[in-house]
Amino acid sequence: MDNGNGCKIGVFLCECGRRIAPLVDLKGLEQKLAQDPAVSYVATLPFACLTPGLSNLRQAVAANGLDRLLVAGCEARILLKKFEGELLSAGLDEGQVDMVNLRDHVAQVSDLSPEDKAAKGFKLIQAAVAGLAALTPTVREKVEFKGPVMVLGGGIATYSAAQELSRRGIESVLAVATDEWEDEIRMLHEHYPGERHYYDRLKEIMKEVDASPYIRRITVGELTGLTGRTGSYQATFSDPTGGPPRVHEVSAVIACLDGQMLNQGSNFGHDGRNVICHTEAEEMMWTLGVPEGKVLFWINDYEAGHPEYAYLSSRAAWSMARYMRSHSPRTQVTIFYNHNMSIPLSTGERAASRQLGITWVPYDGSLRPTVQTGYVTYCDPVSHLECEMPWDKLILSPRRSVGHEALKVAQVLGLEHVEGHFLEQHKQRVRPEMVGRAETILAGSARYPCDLHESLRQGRRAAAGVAEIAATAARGELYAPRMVCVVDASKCIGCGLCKEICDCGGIEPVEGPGGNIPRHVDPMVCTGGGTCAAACPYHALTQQNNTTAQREARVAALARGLAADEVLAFGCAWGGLAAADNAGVKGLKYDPRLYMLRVSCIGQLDPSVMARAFLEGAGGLLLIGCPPEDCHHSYGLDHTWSRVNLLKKLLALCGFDRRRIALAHADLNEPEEYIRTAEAFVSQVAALGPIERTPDNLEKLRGLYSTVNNARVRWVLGASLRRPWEDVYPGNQRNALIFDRDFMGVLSEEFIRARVANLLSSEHRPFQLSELAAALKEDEAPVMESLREMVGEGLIGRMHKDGVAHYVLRS
Amino acid sequence: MIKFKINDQQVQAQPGWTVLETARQHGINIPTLCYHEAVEPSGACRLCVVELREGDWSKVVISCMYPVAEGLNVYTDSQRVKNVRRWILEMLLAECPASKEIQALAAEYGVGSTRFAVHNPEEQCILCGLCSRVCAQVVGANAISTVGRGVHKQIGAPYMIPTDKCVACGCCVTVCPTGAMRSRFDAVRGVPKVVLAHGAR
Amino acid sequence: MKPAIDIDLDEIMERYPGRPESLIFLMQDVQAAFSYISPEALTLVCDYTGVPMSQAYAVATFYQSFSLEPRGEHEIKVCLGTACHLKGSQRIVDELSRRLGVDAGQTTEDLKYTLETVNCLGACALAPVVVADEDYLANVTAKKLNKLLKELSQDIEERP
Repeated sequence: MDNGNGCKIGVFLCECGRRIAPLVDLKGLEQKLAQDPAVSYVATLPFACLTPGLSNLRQAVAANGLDRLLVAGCEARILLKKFEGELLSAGLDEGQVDMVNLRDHVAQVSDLSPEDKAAKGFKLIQAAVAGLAALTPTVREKVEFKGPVMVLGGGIATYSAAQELSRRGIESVLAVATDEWEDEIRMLHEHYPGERHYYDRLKEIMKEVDASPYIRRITVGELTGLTGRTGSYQATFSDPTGGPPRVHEVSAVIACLDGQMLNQGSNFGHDGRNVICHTEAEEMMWTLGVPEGKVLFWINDYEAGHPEYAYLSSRAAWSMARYMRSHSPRTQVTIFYNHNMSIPLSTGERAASRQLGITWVPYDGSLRPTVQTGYVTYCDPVSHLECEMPWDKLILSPRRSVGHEALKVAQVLGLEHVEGHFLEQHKQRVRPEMVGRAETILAGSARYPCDLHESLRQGRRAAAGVAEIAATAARGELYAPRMVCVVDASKCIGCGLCKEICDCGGIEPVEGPGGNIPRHVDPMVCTGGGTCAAACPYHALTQQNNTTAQREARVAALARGLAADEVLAFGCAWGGLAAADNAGVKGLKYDPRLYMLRVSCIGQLDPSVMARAFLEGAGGLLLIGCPPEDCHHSYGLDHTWSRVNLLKKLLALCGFDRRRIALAHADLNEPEEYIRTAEAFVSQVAALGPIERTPDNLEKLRGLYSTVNNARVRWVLGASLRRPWEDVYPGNQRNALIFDRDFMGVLSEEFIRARVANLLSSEHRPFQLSELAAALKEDEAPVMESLREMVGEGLIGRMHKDGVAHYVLRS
Repeated sequence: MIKFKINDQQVQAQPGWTVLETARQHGINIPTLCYHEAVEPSGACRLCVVELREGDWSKVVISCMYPVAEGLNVYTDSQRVKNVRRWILEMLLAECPASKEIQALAAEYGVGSTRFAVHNPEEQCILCGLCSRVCAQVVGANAISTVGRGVHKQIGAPYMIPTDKCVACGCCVTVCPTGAMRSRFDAVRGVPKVVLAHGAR
Repeated sequence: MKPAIDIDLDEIMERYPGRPESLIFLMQDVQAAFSYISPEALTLVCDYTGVPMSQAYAVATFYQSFSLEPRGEHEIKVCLGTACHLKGSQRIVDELSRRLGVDAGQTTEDLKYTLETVNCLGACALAPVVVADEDYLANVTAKKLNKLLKELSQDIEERP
């Protein structure tokens, strides 16, 4: 027994102790599956997931030559990884094993009879089997690391990163602006003032780097370009001597970028002479010596709007204060801090502070101190008296920013940046083993403000991460994840839509005729969100091992099997599905007429999949994602909003109720709310009744399906999808209403055109205008308009018979 | 093939199986709380104890980790075993009075009340550790662990503040045998950050 | 505890191999050097050994000898074991608590003193016993407490 694809699918039903077996008629289910031609082998196991069960699975796979496996048991989110791991040795890779949650989506959540629950389980299993049958597994892609690791950007973390790489035996090349590494320490206080106590260790690191055979230094100009993918990058630099730009082939890139320390403004009294910032203070100490008189360090980060930097500023102030007092006992040093800040000293440092005579004076943070000549006025937080702090030299906290040097490099690297923020990117990690580019390669205070020690630590950490991957690659064991997107270069026209809406930054331009066009996905960066593939107007992107075709197959099989009042749902692993799982785990009962299919993000649902559901007989389709702004793939949720909107418009054009498709939000920790959502939708659709499967309705649904696959429609839809720089959900369309009207116009046109094309291709004979209009039950005018355009575009031909125009599809 | 007996019934097992797995494979039910098929067993709850008899002598061991051996004589529901389970459940009733799942399980063994002092009437966490094991072994995020020890032991993220190591997958909530993780979840995941260095957050 | 500053964290790391097995050794050395394990130090230990932060935090909170908050320059431990309890050690705790302004288990704001209670020091014949840093004080009375506190504060003021 096998199916069209020639694959052999095994289905295993799990009894799960008392949690599935007595509640679901597993015997009947097994019998039905045994008769299904799509299923090669079916068996029931007491516990598929325990050691005995797993060895049963492996034996069955080997004995029957199975190459796809479905376990009808419990949560895929929890157990699929175990099954995949245990079955890899039996020849089944990620994507070839699937699970249906018979326990927590069927057995535990309603009071249906065991036979009825088996019937529901059967439909869900059939859908999963169809999805597995439509899978074309890919060969594991080995990732090679070609060339050394490049450390660029000029930040001080370069040295700790290089040291770490060298200690792990990984070759690296340092792209630096100057050959004199001793010089770097001289100017270091411009980025990290008050850190001289760390310079000795830094010099040791630099010496070790200088002597290492694994490290090569090259002097470069500016970074002008970076292309390629993990394991094989081309970094282009300008030549400082004015020659042609130089390209370096490297395997990975670590960007060490230091932020800039600016001075405070005149609103704090800064004048560059007596009221100065940390960097100026340090310069002054080393060129002119320690000033005499009263030195006041004011940790004014709270007042400058950045309380989070007060710790760093006070540590730097402490270091400079210590130097001053130990070298110039006549100088009085006071550190003046907002009372909301705790003194950042350890016990030993407090004692030292006392001995050195450095006073720490808190002020009431609710009253901003005012700088006057010779005094700073403030309010004592304990006595509430307003006092004055005398000063001869006032040293303010620095203003920290990314700096334009770092920004230039960041831009070339494709790291987006917004004013007032630093370069650190916080993205939801959807695969903990994910090789996220930004996490690995960025080190230094441009990433987020930090001190010298932390900057070096970041460099070490980035290097350790890269070294581990490089070592795995060197052993020939580095493989790309399986469910990542890939571009079919023959279909890609380089429009760049995918790159604009992608949230992980994995889509890379490659050299092509006429300049760079995005045609390549770095599989080590792609998070598998799939919204890119769902948006591509030409279906040039595919999510490997997790394709739109598979989802269509699942949806088709399920929709065909649904009863008149049952609805289809897609739940994402982070939102809807997780909430449904938790509802089942808690044994909460709800309306069993909802059938849920699993996706990792609803953003990967191509409108084609949604259209297919209706085409194959679904009366309602619910998409349940994460709560607003919480999408784990950043914008998958918003993109789904736009796609659902498209479907609603098309349903309306067909004359069907728009409420048959809906987007919803579920918090995984609120299963009761999810139940409310599910039941509301089920009753909503039940009240509408099914879509009658009349020839007219079927013709319209086929037209709907063709329309969502039309390139022009997908283009216009793509233009409205939320981009990462848009703040507003669901999309920052300035003229939403106007866009809506325009889009509706496009849809009406394309809908008719699609139906005309479908009709002509199915009938294989010339049609007159009146026949076409009658068959489509539309007015002649819009049909005529479409025909004229289609003739003009060469899609259909026009010929005259008996003086009347006839239209025929062009082959 | 390793042959031994459970409840006087002959069973067969392979090397590497545990007594619990063998029992389940043969349809014999043994209650568990801290056991989950997706992670390594930890033996924390002791509810899965079984009695091993050899002549006049018997001992109770936890079946979730006890390896199968030739000639074992296992009893899953003897008086001694039932007694151990009742003690455990009675202590759990005092530890987690708010948990419906514990109450139901205790009722199955005829335990309706507890003689032990109740310190926190709202508590549901039985400190089975499933949440932190799932986070480490299945998800790989290592966001949470047990914190403190003895009577002060609890589950939390480092420094008891939301951590961005948490990927908000909710696996901990799904495997939690009581409702405890539901109430702690927001203290661990905080607010998911979706900032590409853009936008308000 | 002799206050120490400018302790090189990286030097401490390098005393042990960068493997998970080194976790507790490193934590002990950091604790000994700084009198507590700061978040920065714990992060560094995790980076170095490859142990996830949650696990390291679990270990740090499990053992009494690790402190995640800075400890005072002087640690005063009052024994609350059976013999000492019978001889009124609770009153000693209360008195010290009043004088220092902190509860047992806490450190004063200026990081000068930490007050602790312990379960039994095994010096029951000397009950009630107070341990100040490494020194055991026997048969502690109010007068002896006064003397102790005076000595400790002088030590703090006079240290070169």
